[in-house]
Amino acid sequence: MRRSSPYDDLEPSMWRTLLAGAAVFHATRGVLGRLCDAAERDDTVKVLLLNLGRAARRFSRHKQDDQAAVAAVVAAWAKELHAALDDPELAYDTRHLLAETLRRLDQAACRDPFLPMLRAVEVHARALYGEHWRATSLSLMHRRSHPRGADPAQDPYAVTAMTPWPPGPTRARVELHIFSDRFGPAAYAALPTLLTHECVCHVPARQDQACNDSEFAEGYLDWVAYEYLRLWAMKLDPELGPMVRKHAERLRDVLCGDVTTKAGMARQCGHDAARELEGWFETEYDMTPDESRRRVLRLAVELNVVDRPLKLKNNFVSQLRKPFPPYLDKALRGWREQTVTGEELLDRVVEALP
Amino acid sequence: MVRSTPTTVEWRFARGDATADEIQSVVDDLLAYLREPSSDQTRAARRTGAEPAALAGATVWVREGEQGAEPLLTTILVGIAVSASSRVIESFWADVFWPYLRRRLGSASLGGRVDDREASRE
Repeated sequence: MRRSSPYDDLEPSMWRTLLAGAAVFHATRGVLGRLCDAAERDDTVKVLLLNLGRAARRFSRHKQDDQAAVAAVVAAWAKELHAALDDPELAYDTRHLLAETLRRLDQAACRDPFLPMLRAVEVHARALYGEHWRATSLSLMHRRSHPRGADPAQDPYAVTAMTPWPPGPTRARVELHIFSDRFGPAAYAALPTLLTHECVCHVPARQDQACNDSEFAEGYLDWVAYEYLRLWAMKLDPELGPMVRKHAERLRDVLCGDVTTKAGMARQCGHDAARELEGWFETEYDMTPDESRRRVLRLAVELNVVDRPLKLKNNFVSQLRKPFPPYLDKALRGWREQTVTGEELLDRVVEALP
Repeated sequence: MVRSTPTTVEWRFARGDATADEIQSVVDDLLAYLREPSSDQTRAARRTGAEPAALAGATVWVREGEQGAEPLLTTILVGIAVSASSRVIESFWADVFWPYLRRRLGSASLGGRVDDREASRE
């Protein structure tokens, strides 16, 4: 029975709070999307989820080991579910949903769900980047405020992730920061999105600096990461996959909706550039949308591991506005025909700089 | 035994989600742990090349940098006076103090350093 935390940056009681909440979300992940939606219109479900968070915090302080804390939280929440089901006024749909949730709660286990999530994403990202991949380690941290200072009703994704710069030559550390007081089902479902962003955009990156308002690293590559998540979601976890896809879209709307910051503007600029490039392949080469998207993804991965200054990569992205400059049009055609490498494409951008 | 020159530093940080009082309270706990020879914090301090007893005798003050209608825009000042070199204080901050603060109050408890200045050196 564990009495300490497996993560250096978490006190044992904080670790148990996150573990207990995640254990319930993992066990009920097949209905978690419906629970999340129901909480928006049904106060019974909303209160149940709030009380789950309270129970996780309370029992994590009072219990001395992980297993006892998880068991106490599961028992307390099961009792709450039973009480809700006893209400004769409960709507039919809600009754069905809560009964199914209760049934699945039996599977709640005292196992770290965070590291396996990273490992599942890593399998796909490593296959994508091959020899350029850096092995990852996970740091789990807590925070006492929403990462965007947002209203949880508008932005329930009270989690964020980062990859400290610079990574080692062959290893990178991925950090997950969770606002424990608001760690709800939507935040849980957003974890694969954040981990995919870190693994696609930052872990294997070869560049000279970190920059949170990079049109390349936080824009174009972010768009690419969402596309890969869409492709990988069901393989990461077949039960959670549909909810992951749904909340990835919602999180993207939240993040792209903020164009008041330089980071938000860079994200939007990079996403627009990726779409422009996708459209260019489609029209210039009469490709299907899927084929053209695959080219955009492949080019991004190739450019991400070319060890060139990030400003140069940003410059490339900022020029992806129709009509493309003639030199870029020619270089992209060369890349498509495999006569120009990603590295050479960036060289052409350098040559064209005033 | 060669004693390091007493040094005083004062650093200004962007405000995070912890108050100066909360941070001061965690600092006081940490200094108490450093007085225990077998504590994790004492072992971590030794790894930085510092003498834990000297660090335990440090004076550390944490205060609000300003008062303002918009607290997010204010800063937090952290001052440290200790018989150690400024290099050791830097290591102590990075390897002992900040990880302990992050663990206790969270990763957003304090923002980035916005102004480094050595207040005095004797």
